[in-house]
Amino acid sequence: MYLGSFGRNLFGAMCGLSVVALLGIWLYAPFMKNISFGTIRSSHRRIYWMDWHKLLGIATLSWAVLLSLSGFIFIFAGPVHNAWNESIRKEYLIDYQDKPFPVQRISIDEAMEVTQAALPDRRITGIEVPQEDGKMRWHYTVCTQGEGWDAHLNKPVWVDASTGKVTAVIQQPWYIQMLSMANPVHFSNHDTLPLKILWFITEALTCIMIITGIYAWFVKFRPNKGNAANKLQAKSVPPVRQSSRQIWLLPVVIILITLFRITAPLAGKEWSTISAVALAIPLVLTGYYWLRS
Amino acid sequence: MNAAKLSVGKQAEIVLERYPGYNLRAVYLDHEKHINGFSLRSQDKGYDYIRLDLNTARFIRRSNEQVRYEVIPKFMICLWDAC
Repeated sequence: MYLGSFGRNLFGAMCGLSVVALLGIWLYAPFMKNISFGTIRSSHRRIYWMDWHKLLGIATLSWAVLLSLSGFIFIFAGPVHNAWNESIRKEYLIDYQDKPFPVQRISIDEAMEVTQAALPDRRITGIEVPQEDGKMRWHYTVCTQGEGWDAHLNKPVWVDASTGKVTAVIQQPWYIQMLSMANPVHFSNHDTLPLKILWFITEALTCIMIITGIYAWFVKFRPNKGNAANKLQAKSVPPVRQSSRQIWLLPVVIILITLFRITAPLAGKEWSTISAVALAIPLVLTGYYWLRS
Repeated sequence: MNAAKLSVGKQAEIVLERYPGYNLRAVYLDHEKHINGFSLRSQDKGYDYIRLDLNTARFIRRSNEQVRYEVIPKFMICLWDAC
């Protein structure tokens, strides 16, 4: 947004607010006590839009929660990363504090060779060169990635720039690994064209879900202009008491499918097709209930 | 022959020859897109970021948010001759 850190923080705050707004899922059960999943009633304008809001809300809920949460983490995880980095620098570099900045250093290629020998199953994704005024004055920091899930987790290797020996292979703790996963969850798990199209449709449905919610709220303050046809339709959808299991069964299935479809591509590109199929299921269900209504 | 046959260290050397006065801060390797990024810093000129497309041997330079497309002649020569 060309607003620098302000714009970045604004986006992060919006993601956080989105997560809070989506906690409205707790209101779902009381509103569904007397109607089955996916029922769209047109007896009243507000009820019509509320039914749409509930259907689309379930279809897009876990997708929107994961995206908002990962966006929030991606933006505000910086201080946690910095604190952890500082702690491991203190732990591993305590013997280097009195050493001068190395003028004679091994080459980048040598640092890469040493790293590859230490971690033959991983590939190198970046090399940070020691800087005289930086925090890593004595080491090359070589970033590496593995295969599948591990492709999203960095395992840096610190190579002593003077001797060419490996000082440390840094293993990230679980909470840093979880924070690191926010980036791929938010940005890069929709590589193939079918996934891009399905993500676009899901995103559009999320927008419609928000708009229908707002519209239904505004309609609340308008007088009911029901007509004979509406009353007839209301009678055609008689209230049927729903158990908790009946209320939550399909939503929970859809939520689980959505969680799978978002996380599966992170395990590798071979999961993209099955993820696209999983992504299509809630959309097909939405289409089915639309046509049925 | 393509640019990927040049080692990363050699690529960095050529970039630094092209932009004297800069120090290399970091190199980023994008294996999917075959693009290497070189982060440079100069006390006088500030920060620069050079992206080298290993498929086309083109450099994309981003300096003070301005993007310029360039070709480094020596790098082009290195594509065909050992250097």
